[in-house]
Amino acid sequence: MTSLSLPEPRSLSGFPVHPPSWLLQVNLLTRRVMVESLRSPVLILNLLLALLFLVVYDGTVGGVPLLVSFAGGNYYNFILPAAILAASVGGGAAGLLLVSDIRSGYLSRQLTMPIRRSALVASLVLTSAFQVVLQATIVILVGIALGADPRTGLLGIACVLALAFVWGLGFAAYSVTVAIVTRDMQMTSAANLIFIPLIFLSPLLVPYEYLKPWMQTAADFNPARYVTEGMRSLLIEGWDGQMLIDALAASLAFGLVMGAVALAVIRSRLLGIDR
Amino acid sequence: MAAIEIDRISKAYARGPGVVPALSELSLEVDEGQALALLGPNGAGKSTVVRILSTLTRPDTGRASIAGFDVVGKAAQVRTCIGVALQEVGLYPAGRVRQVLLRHAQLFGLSRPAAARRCDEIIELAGLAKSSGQRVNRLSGGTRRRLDLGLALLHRPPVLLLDEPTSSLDPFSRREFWRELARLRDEGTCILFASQNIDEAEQLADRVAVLVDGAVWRSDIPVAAVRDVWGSDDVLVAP
Repeated sequence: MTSLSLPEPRSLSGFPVHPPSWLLQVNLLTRRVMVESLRSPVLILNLLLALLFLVVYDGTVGGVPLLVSFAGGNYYNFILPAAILAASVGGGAAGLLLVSDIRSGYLSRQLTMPIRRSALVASLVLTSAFQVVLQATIVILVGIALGADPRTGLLGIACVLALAFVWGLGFAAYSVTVAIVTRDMQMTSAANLIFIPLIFLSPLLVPYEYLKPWMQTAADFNPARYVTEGMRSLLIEGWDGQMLIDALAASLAFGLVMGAVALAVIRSRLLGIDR
Repeated sequence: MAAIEIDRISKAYARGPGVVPALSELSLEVDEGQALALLGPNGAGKSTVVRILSTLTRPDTGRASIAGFDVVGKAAQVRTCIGVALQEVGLYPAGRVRQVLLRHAQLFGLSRPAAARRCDEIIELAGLAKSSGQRVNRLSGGTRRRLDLGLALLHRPPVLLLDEPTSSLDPFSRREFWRELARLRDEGTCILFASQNIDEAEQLADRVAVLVDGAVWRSDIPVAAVRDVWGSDDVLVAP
């Protein structure tokens, strides 16, 4: 091919043609995704599911004296982390939004614009993580209204929400990965059910020591175990540095691995939304 | 000088156990200030050309460049100088018209005041004044298409890539857009558009290339010659 006449884009009438910074891109994209997701009924459904966890488990086993003794006399404190992790399914909204953008053709428009792929992923993942925090806040408030009394007070609740945020980032990145690979609303929605083995293969109903050996082994490899125990320590026992470090490390590892996979998949698959 | 160069690109899509060829050794050039109409029946490969130039699809072989930037190796630079309207309107449902324009203008790097001014221009140009506060999901198909075309023009790109750009517009809006696109072409914008509509090619194009089965069947022929081959129908349906 011969050399071409337009070495760089024209700048007309004072309009810059240089794309904005990564942070501004994320900001602009996140605001859009936030509006879309807050209008989605998925948010309410996830919240109801999380609240159902809280109420049903307390109603079912909250009267068993042995279990109540684990929770320092208040089973709501014990089961609250499970309800918060159930709320993390809200992170799955990221994948559903992406599939919706693929179907509407809006993703194709975005891909023809000077938008960084990582900014696209970040906006979806951040929105969903904020959504998880919003749902976790409501779950905690309902839990307190029903009788939970977090041992570490407001600061402890803030730490629980921070853990929920990091966990939500990972779950959202997982959902984005599934959405890109399948490009299918039902598959992406069904993939969110991974939260069931994640939270049930952990000390959800009884402390770790009371699990059968095979269940303990499964829980050892499950990041949800450490997040649950970290939150539980804040709600029941007080400040425990080691528990918090383990919980944060597990959430971060889950988030980083899922985030890296999502970015790799989006880079390899999104160039061609080939039909 | 050429703003768009396509050099022997081929593309095939996987369909089930086999592959379906979409483009075969296609070569084209479009200069600054020129409008090229890609005409052809359904399945001729027109949309694939637009998608490759828009960096949405990679060619299997061959090279294509826009403003000197390779569409595969320098895709990020290509995206700063193209305005695209694909066959399917690419909008998100919850946004309001002016808000959508403003956000996109900012994503193209315009400051907020410059973006606001440009949005007003586009709203007037695209006849969107009455709908500027409405949500996208409440708009008619024609109004959505006008917004989609407005987004393609928002950052005054030197190269416009349009796929069936006025297919769902009413005759009045279609003529308005043709007039605006002709003005942009006269100012130096390079336009490549895919169409099945011979009228559209007559109104806009300096040159016509007819695609059949992924290859250029005729290039640089008068539109009248296309009518001779396809008959007097306005829409191409078969070679």
